[in-house]
Amino acid sequence: MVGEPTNLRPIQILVHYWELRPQALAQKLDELIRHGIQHLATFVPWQAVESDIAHTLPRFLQAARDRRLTVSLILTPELGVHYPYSGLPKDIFSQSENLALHEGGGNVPVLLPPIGFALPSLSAPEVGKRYHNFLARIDSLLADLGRNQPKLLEGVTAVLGGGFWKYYRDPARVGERAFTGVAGDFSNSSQLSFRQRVDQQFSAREFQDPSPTAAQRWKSRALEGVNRRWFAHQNEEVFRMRSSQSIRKKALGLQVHQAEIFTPEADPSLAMSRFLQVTGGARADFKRLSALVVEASSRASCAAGSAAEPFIHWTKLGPYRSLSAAERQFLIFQSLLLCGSRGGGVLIDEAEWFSLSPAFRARADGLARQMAQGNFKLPTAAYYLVPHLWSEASDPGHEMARRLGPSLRYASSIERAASDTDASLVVVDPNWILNRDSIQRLLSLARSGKVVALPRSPLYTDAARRELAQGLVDGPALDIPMGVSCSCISIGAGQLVLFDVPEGASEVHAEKVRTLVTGLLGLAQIHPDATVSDGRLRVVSLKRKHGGLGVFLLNATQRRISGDLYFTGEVTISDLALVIRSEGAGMKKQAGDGASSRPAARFGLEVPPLGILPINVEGLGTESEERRLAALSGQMNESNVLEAAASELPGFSESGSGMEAVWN
Amino acid sequence: MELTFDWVGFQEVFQPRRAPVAPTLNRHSPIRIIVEGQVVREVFCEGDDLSGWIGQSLEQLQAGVRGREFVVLDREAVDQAISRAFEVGHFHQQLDLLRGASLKQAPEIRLHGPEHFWVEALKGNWSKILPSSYALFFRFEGATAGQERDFIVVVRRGELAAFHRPDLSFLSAERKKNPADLVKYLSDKYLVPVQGFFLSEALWNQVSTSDRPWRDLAQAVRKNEVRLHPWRWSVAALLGVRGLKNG
Repeated sequence: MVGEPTNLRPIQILVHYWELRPQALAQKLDELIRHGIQHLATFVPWQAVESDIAHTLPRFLQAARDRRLTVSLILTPELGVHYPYSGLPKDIFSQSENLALHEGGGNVPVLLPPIGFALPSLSAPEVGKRYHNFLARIDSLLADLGRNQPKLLEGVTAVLGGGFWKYYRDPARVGERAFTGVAGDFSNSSQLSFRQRVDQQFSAREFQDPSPTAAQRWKSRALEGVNRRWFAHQNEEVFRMRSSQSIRKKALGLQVHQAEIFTPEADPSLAMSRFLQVTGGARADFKRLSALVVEASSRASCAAGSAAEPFIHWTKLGPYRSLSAAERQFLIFQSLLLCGSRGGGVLIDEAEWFSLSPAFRARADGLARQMAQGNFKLPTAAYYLVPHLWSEASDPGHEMARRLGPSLRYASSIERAASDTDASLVVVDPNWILNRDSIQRLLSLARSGKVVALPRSPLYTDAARRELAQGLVDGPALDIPMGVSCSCISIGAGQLVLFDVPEGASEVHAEKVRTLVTGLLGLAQIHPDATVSDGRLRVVSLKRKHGGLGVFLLNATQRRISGDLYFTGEVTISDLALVIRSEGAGMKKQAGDGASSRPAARFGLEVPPLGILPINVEGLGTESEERRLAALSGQMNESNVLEAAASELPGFSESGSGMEAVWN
Repeated sequence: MELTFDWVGFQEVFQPRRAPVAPTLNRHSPIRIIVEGQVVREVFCEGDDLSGWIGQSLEQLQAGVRGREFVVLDREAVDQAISRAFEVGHFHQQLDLLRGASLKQAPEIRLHGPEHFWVEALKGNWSKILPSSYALFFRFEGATAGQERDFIVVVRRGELAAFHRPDLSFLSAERKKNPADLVKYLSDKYLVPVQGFFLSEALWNQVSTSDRPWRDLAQAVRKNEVRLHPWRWSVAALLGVRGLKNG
């Protein structure tokens, strides 16, 4: 079951424990405590663990425990670590079969100090073996520590990220968007594994229906891109699951968190641009870094049954460092807004954090504290289900992202969308393979009150088609033209939309996609709470715990932008920073407070260059909130009924077919 | 642990952050492009957003952005240069290779200040004048006492063999403050002659971002704002000559 992410620390300060001498370690930790830091995060480089004759990691954990600091140990291989080869053993890189290949057949370069390298393949047997040996070693080490000093591990959390999978992309395939083409490892070992997995997957009875030769259709070259996507997704899931299993074999009491750590500076989409920058002595491309934050934060990862919290990691090593203070602050605040309000946050080097101005740190800390208390949440209005998070989505997905901004999230798991009570629309990408199980889950999602849109693609199994036909006997289909032919069927408390996949020449196609998305958003009654007249401004609307919205207007340009801010109804606005401060001081807000504007649906605002304008909004309709609460109570009722039935009715099964058998 | 290559420290010392290029000055900067066939795969010019041209043809880009200088690099050659760079062991060597490859492809390219003047000198002609192995120790004094920042660069045969914050934990607080003791300790530790430079952080930043860094540095030495330990006439003369020659 995907749980609601907890977010106690949206800003996590990174310490490189392996660089600190014993004497300096104590000093550093004391200094951090003086600055009010209570939690630290650190990467654990494989190489540092393999050659840790000085026992720096246990010493670090002991020193942290002595000072009552809690620690997150990031155990999965991540990029941007201040260690040669990001902490991976050097000998891995000496064999070409250990290196990953992108879609275009080349290596995936990472141009970051202390040394640039080509990404290794996590599918390579040698890399996998070494990685799991490393995890076993860490597991033993932590288990020993826990046995000898049971209190020591109480404040330690193992963090497992998604590894390198999201970076396996062709650097030359960038354009408007960072995540283009099919992401995944195309190395020989991965190819071999792909073929085996395809055979295995399509040997299932469902894909051999009506005859065993039907499986050949799924293995055909025409579906290579589709199969590549699910294979890449599966690889990532298996990697996370195995990592999770390896780390708690002995260290049973260890807390494990799943996260999605993304280092924009190491992203392959910047490799070519980085080449031009380093050879020309130019500064980094701020706009691209900012766009990468937006793209990465819109992807909702899921791991071993729980949500993986999105974190943006800013190093002190790469292009980020060359940016101006205002640009760096903008990126950190943007990362905090987009990830912190979704259960994740920002990972930042301690020296870099303290190099920022005290005023900025206080502001960011204030926002992080509010997020930790659950006062700000970025609700997801719609999910776009893609077979692989880091591969390119189809056009309806892009159009939805353009229209909804941060209110849209991409997900590769139906559970992720099902667990989100805010989302009222779930659209399935035409590249998604629909089998019986996924149709059952999507139908149940629709019955719970959401609008579920399915493409009329050729990627249905026969069993899925039958399941769908059976599920749709509830009500009559209403044909609605939405640029393409669509059928809308009321099902339970929600609706199911079957749409033709938009095709045609580029202009016509774009128009069809636009109309389709408009129709779907209308059907799901999704209206962005706030919109702006100037496309250069980005709006992030956070829902406040006690009602109202926190709207942040982001200007990522170097110019002052004046524009209008529109709301769906009349609202009053005021300075969010002032409101938070007065709430923090326990002051009661008076009606007609001088700081608030007069009620209006449109406000003219000016956002300074690289500025983020925080606005408190009050008076928006409560309709969406009521809808969310109704859905939530509906889900709770359903689970209560099922629970009661399971305990009272012998032979009762919670699966759909079981239920039908009981009632019919 | 003392890192052999402390890249964070190296960047702090030798790659000071510089102000962004103003959009008006930008018009004089060349537009750097990577093409595959005739398709633009990457385009970059600091401060200009040209990403909309990615995926268009080079001709279209050149027609669309008039009055600008273009530096065009071939994608395959860039890929090869990156692959070759990965064969060497250190990021600064990798950067040298990448810059070399870039110059080879487009000799008209102007590498405006990619390297710190001091690092450039260490890798350049200085190796012919100075001993084959030596170390430079920098102590940057902050505004208040106790805010010093130390950094050492070990050079062997004109190559940066190590750079990091030296571990001075074995020295007493008093010896740490004494330049002669410090230099002696480091010289014994690294087994190479060490030249110490003691100056303020603000002065270093000012010199590093100056258009005429050698002249500013030489003047600071003359005013005793940069203190050399030990005082070596040869080093002082070298700085003076560079100051006169390169301005």
